[in-house]
Amino acid sequence: MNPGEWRDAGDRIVITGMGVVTVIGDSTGTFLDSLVAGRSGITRWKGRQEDRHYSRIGGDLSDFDLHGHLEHRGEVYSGDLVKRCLSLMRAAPLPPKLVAAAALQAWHEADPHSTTAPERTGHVLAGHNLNAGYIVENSLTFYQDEPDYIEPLFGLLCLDTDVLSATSELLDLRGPCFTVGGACASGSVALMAAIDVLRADRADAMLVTGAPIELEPVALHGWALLDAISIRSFNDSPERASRPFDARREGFVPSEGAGALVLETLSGARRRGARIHGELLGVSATSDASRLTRPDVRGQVSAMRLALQDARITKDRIEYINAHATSTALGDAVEVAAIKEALGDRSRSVPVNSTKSMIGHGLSAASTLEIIATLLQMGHDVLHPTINQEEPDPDLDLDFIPNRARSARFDVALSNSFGFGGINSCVVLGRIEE
Amino acid sequence: VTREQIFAVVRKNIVNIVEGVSEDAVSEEISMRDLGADSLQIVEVVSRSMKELRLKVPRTELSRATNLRELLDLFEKAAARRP
Repeated sequence: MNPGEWRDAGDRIVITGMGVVTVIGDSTGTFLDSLVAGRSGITRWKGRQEDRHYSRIGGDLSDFDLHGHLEHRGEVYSGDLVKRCLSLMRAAPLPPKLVAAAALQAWHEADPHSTTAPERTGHVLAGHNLNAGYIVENSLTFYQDEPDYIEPLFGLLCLDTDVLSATSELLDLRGPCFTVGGACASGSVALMAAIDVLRADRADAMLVTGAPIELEPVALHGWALLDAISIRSFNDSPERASRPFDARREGFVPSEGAGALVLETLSGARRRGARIHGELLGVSATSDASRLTRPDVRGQVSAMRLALQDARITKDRIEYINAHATSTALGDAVEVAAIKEALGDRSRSVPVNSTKSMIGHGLSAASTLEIIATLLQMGHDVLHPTINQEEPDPDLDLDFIPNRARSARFDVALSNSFGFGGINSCVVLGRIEE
Repeated sequence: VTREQIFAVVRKNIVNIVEGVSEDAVSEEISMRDLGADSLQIVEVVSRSMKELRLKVPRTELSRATNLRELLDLFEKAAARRP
């Protein structure tokens, strides 16, 4: 039996649209190509002042050209849509631009409004502290120049809901629209919220966007002081810095990017004849009941088991794991221990990779991007590598798909996300036979 | 700064911020509402113009302006007050 078939088709939630803007591709096609090629998008910071903080490297989209991106896709989007998008984003910081660009791809692909009223479509945005750089800059204007010269719409844009609402306006989403925050697990927790909206029949289609935190010097410095990010060994070879599971890993590599998914029920998607990328078989959320950045095996194991229970499958059905795997010394070790405990002997035969090895840590956008990476791999019968595997850590001995992609067909996958504040969320994804 | 220079800055910002407005359509006799600006666009035009001209007019006074002439009057007075 297909793993999702125990549910009524009206309760089975599928993905019918996907979109990305990342440091290695601004479409699902280019993103997948780069992942399979093992291409890193990590560079020296391009435009950020370097003299007052330790961080030198990351996934930098500060030069993202929304106009060029939309024009490049000009044959796909109508001129009116491009015009409205550029007008809405005229003076916007980076996060709303990235979210809008990713959301347009996903929504355009799924096209729910061809059969569904705007009032039956909604939006859950994953993330928080999004326009952080904009807030810092305006704080400087306020204190160092003239309070009245802060950006005119600061009162709106200082709130994360503005990133949500700009895209909701662009796509005319008039049903349930709200933000969900869960640090680096935001995207998975947001999926859970959107699934609940659909199963409660409060909407027919939901857009879920994983939004980036605009990386600015103060937050980068804060993470450096916590010893959480890579600041030492790879400043002159940034593409080697994100190296989950490798013995020389020394911290996560912060990165910008956005992902978007369109969710609807299987019955609705089939009625519309929509292309289905996969099914959300199960999802979970647990807390370590700890504010520390220190991850916890117990909470992670619990999250993996609850996601399997939600999907009503045993661990033996899991064929691939997209790990949280941020490239921190402790985090990767704890996750490997948790996978071993949750999957038992099964863990020895399940391939595990890290999308972050190439795109860095997308923070509140990370899990959305990794769910998309998982679905793209499933759809193309391929597993992308974990790059920068040069010196194996003897304690970490799973199959990490080191350095080279491989062909593989899998039908059920697990995607892990474990955030600061002990927020754990796991998602089980499955193939849908058309 | 002359009134003409102030008007030129305000007109440029209106054209940039309010869609579909041409320079010819902007005169002292009309209001930004007449030109189709929404409340956020009005805030943006006024704030950006003040910053560009390095002027400061208290919000309580700004809200009294009902058309561009009255807005320019306020800006002109503020410019004259400048040290």
